[in-house]
Amino acid sequence: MMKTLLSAVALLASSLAMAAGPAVPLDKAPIDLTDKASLQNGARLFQNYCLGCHQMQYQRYSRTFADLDIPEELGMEHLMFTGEKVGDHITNNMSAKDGEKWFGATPPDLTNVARVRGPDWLYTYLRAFYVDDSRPFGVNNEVFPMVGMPHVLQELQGVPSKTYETRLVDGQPKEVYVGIQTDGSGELSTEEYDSAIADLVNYMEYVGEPTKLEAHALGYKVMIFLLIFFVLAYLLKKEYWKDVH
Amino acid sequence: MHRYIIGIFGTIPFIGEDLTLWIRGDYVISGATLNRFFALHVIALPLVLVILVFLHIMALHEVGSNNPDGIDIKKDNDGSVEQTEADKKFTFHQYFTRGGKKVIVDAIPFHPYYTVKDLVGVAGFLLIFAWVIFFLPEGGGYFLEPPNFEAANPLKTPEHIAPVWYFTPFYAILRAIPHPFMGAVAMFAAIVALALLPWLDRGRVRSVRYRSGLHKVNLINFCISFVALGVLGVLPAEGVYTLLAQIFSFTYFGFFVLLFFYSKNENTKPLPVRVT
Amino acid sequence: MSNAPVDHGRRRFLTIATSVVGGVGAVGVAVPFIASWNPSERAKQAGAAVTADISKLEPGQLIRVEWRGKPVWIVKRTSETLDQLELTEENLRDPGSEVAQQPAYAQNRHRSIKPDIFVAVGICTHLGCSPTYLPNDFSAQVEGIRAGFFCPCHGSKFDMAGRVFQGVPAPTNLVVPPHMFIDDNTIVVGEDEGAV
Repeated sequence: MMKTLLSAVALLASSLAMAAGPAVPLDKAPIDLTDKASLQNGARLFQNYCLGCHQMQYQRYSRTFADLDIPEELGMEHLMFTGEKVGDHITNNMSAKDGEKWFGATPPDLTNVARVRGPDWLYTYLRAFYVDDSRPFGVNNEVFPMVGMPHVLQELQGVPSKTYETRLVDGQPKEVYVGIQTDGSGELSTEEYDSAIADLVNYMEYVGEPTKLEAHALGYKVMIFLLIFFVLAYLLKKEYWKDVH
Repeated sequence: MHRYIIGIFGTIPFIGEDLTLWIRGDYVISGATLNRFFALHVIALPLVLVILVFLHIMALHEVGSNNPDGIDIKKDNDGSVEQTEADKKFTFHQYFTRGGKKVIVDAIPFHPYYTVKDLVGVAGFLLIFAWVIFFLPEGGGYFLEPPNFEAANPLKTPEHIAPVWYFTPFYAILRAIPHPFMGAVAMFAAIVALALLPWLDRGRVRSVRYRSGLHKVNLINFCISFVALGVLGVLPAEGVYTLLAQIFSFTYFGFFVLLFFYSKNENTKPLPVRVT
Repeated sequence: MSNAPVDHGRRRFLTIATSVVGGVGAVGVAVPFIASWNPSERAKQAGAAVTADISKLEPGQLIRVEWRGKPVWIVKRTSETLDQLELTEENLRDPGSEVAQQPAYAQNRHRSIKPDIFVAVGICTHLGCSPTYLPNDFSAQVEGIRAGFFCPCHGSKFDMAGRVFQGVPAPTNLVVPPHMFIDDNTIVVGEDEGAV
């Protein structure tokens, strides 16, 4: 009786993982928050390709520069385009109303998007655009069907299309979908593009929680201190409870 | 999420709609709603809690904490109870001995024994707490759910409506009953039943050490049902999950029903008068 | 119950050791909470240095910039004003600027980096009113001196280097903020790169 109950609970617990519902399988984003070169490249990509429509209104330029070891003069020269002060938040001049009119939905603020969607989703999404003439901007997205966002990174990736191959299935030749491939007209090769997207997602993961590395470093020290304290408190308890036992 | 919870009150027949309007103070959840919820949850409720804690401690000190065997420790100081050597080792504050009118046996004072033991407990708790704070603040998405990281949009419902993790057992019970109002009644009954336990348990014996095997099995069944309901509350309400939620809701309430019946003539062990 | 003798030494040692480690922990916890009261990033950005363009500053003209919520004056002093600075030094409370109301590079007669450009916080050192700049009528306050600062609230007087006169309520000279010249036409108020 007990065993069946326990195994029922175990089965339920394992189905937690499947509670999300049907979804496109996501590629694993190579996140490394200690790789400052990657983060800096990600910041550069964001400022040049994303800032036109998306803000990071809860992140200050000075914070990005300080955490990524970018000297302020260099950062102001290469990453700030509209005369803000270095302590200002990363905003643009597109109003929410205009954004909604032009794209169907206001381009969301991206400060915390890595904590809403997760880095794997972002990494897969940015590499899942494909040509689709039925859409207003000519592209659709496998991870986010009917997305209103144009493929701003097309000049880097080239023109991506859904590719089909003729293969024998059960003895019959059939058109099999083999994934999205670029036509090669982009500035970057497929590996370079994937690497650039990894940098961009790395940067967004950092912006979502800028103090994560600091928290981990402090956390180790705190845990070690608490272990020492625990041992001392335990010995003290045992000593006094000799009276009782 | 709050729209959903207030909606539960809307299932009450006849007065449901007016009630939700009165709770919200507006036609939608607005500043009026926020202000009163804040005042209730941050001021009124904590104040009530503080008062209740105070009353609880006063009531407790009247009879004194007992021991794991469930035996009362304060005896009248009229010579009917003999103090042993062990009893004379410990001194208690005269507040507890009522200035000599009561004598305490088979117990030890809170300080230093429980101050020092609780310190170990605090250290252990802080270890787990620090681990969550520094390394897992989002708790795998259960302590800080992902929708918290985007601005609230009343026109866009999130993909998954899920209550916070500690509500999930009651959410499972709510969804298990097909009828909206009866489901809400069942959900509240699940909590009220706990408050009724002192009267539902008709046994005279306090400590589980002296109670029957049947009672221990009943308790274990209750725990398993509760955890199972908690897991089911996170899963979508479809297919076999709904059936399981109904089964475990039944066994959850079954605990209280069974307890009521067997506790009157339970096969308990005889209680000792003294423990040392 | 154990009937073994109580080892008081061990108890005292363990109690003290646990208390000391616990105390260290309490301090460790307190530090970030207390530090959270320091100025936030927002406050620090709002209090950041201010750049002022003085290319069009006429002799005798005063311009005002805001730094950390306070008015900061920049005055182009005339040569007559500078000459008159030494005339009243017997009547000043602190002619040598002994009291630390200015950075080291402003501890001179003209209390500034360049003699003709005077930078000072325009707040009276008495109770905080903003004194009036009198470029031509100061002789009504101090005989023979053309220009100065007169505070209308309680009558305090300062010379054109911000030095306070005796016999007025204000106790000290006007504060000279940290500042520096990026070039001949631009002053940054609020930073001086630690210059002496």
